[in-house]
Amino acid sequence: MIETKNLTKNYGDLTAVDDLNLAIKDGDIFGFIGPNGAGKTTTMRILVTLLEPYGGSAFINGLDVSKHGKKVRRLVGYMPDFMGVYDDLKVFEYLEFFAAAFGIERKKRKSIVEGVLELTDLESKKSATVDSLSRGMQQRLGLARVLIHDPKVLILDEPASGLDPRARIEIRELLRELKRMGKTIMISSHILSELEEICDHVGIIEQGKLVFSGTLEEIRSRLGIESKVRVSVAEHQDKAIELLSALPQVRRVQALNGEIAVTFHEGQHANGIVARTLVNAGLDIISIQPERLKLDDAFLQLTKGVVH
Amino acid sequence: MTTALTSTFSNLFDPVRLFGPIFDKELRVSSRRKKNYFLRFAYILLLSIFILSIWYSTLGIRSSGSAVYQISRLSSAGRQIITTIVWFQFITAQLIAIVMLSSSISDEIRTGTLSVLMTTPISSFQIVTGKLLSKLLQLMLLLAISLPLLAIVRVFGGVTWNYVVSSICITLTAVMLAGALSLFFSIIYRHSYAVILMTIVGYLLIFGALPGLFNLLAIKGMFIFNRNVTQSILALINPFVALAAENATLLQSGVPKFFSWPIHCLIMLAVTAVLIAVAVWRVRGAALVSTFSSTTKLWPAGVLERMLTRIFYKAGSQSPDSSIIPVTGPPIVWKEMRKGFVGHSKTDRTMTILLIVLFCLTAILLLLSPRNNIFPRYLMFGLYLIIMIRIAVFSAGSIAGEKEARTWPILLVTTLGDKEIIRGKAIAAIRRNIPLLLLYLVLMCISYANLGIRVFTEILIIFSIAALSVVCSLLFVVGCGIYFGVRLKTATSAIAATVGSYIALTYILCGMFNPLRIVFYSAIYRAAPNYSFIIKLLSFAMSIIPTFALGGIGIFLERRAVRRLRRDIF
Repeated sequence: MIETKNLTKNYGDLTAVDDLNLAIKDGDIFGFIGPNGAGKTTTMRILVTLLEPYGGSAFINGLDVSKHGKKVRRLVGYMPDFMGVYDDLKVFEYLEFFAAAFGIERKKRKSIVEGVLELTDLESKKSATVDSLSRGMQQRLGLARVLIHDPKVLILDEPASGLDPRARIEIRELLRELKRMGKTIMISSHILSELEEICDHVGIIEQGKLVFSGTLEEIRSRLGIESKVRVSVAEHQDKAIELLSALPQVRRVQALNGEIAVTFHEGQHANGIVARTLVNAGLDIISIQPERLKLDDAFLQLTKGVVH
Repeated sequence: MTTALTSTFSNLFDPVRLFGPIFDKELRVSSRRKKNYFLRFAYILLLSIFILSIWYSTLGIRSSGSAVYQISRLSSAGRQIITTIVWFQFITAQLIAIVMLSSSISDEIRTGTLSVLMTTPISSFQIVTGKLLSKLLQLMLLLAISLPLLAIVRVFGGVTWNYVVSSICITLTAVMLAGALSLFFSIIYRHSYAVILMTIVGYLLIFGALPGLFNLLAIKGMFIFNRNVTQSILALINPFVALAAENATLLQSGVPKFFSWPIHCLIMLAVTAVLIAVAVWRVRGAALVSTFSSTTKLWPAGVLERMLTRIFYKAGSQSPDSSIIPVTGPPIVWKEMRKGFVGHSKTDRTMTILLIVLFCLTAILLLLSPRNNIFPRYLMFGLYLIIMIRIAVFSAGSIAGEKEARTWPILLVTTLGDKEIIRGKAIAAIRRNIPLLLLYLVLMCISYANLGIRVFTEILIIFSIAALSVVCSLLFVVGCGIYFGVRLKTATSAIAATVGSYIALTYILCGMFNPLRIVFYSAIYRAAPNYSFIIKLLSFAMSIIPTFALGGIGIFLERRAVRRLRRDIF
């Protein structure tokens, strides 16, 4: 659905996007992660036809964004990172204006606007002026606007930034609902734990270059964090460390805050060997917990923290 | 001991110490801004063109006659040239001061930096004076540019040093007052274009229409003071009358009974000081008060808004669902027209009331003044300029304003065509000003009726030329406004560029001292001094062609704007 081929964008001497190759499948939620100034917003702006690429090409549903601007805009709903609102319009008028701007017939507008208001839970606010809405409500209104022409692709640039936890949860639920509706969503966010919960794929970008692209499982596999467990024994911790260190599958054993961290060689898995060894030696196990990779950790490990 | 004294003395008069770090910061920032260099260049260029055309019109056309005759005319020419330059500087410098200071506090309020400044030890006095004086310093540099010119023209004779000094002092104090007034309004209003419009409307009312009315009443014996006393008072408190009085002294064409320019300058300085004091008092409150404007409607503007909205915008067909107005017609036009003629903010309503008052006063002056009194027509010109500025605000501000509000990208990702967006903005800018244009038409009718022209064909010709001039100006201002709105990032820059271009081009192409017209006149006069018909015909052509050119440039710029619409989005 979304594809970029050697996409490049320069601002004078600065290369904001450098030879970027992305491929997002139909119906996926794609999380776009990167430090500030990495090139996320520039990529999204190119995809929604607001910027012209310097080199390479970008496609939405097979259409080149540089050549078929109007057709692409009909397919895409875009929510920018800092979204302005027409403060002198009412919520209903605001959405009806965009419905008219997308060429929706006058007869159909009312029912469409009411539909998106219901979906975004803004029905009670339809007569309120846009600038009287709270930040969370304005973000929801932004999402309602994005949905007004029923686009196949949603490109959302940090839609949850600056929102309180409740509003963030609401936005997350809304995105899940949109995924169920079959939309392809590209979303960037700094709140990585949120992306972890809703994204099928993630792309990590730094200095305009794609550092990694794939599923969360693929990241775990790549960083080798999956083959790590934390063990807690009732007593004789030193003996446990000695026994586990002697195992050929184990690369390193460390004592950490009363627990034992066991790291396996690449490609090796715990497969119950830790528990079996300790039980056979007569040691009482309190807990064995495989260590899961957090997206934040992956982000820190995959990026260098360098910005333009 | 000497070193300590010198140090104390220099510290005492160090501007940074006196006016705080704001003064220092403003000077630093202004030196980095390209637009300030462009402004200086544009000012010098315009001044040079102006001087050359005045020179040519005064000495160039009728160059026949002996050398002795020519030399004898130099002193009167010198006086004419110098008074014209002084008027040019007086008006231009005040306009620049108004524009320069219009965003001084409002920008700080809008971006939230004023609140941050208030948490530092910087005092309100330092903020206000730092902003005001840093800008005035730049203006003084502009005024200083013309000093050598004034000194050179003095060589022709007939111009006293007293006049040079008095005119500079009157201009300086008027510039300080205009700047202080603009700064004061920038504390009240959020947008700099509202500040510019409000200051100009206020200026025209306080220094134009009201004194004109008092003078007229005094002439007719209906005022508390007689004519001489009224004119003397006006000369003391009104910089325009003061400069006119100084020029009258130089040209020996009648002066008010009592007039002293130093007293006038002291009064202007006192008024400026009062304005600064009020600004200092209000600036802290402005930082704290919420920037949301009240939705309470002022009584006359509320009634006016409903009435005009019904007449011009067909918005009376409201949806039964409360006050939601359904989108009809092109969406861009609908959105812009949604604000109506009066607008939604307090600023818009106050402005409308002031404009209506100004129109009424001008109409009264036109009706009651003697036929040879040119003053009401100057007021009409001022009103015309305000209408054009308002159109520039709606055309340039509607695009650059969207960039500032960050709504521009979301409008551009809709399926609306580039032409559709530009045309919508242009149509709305014109339609929103139709009531003012109609009021201006009424003034034109009164003005021509007052001239006493009875021949129908003459009336028709004059009216057609005037209407053509208005239409072409409209096309230029809308096209130019849309173009600068697309090119520039802030509404203030776009509006200032539009208004500046309009004034400069109108002067160069269509003005009284239009260099092209002068050169043509001169050539024709030399070639065929007796062919008055040819001169009349050429004069007509020289009026019409530049007017068409102005409209043509407007259409060209609008087309350029369509092509550049997606190039400077962020």
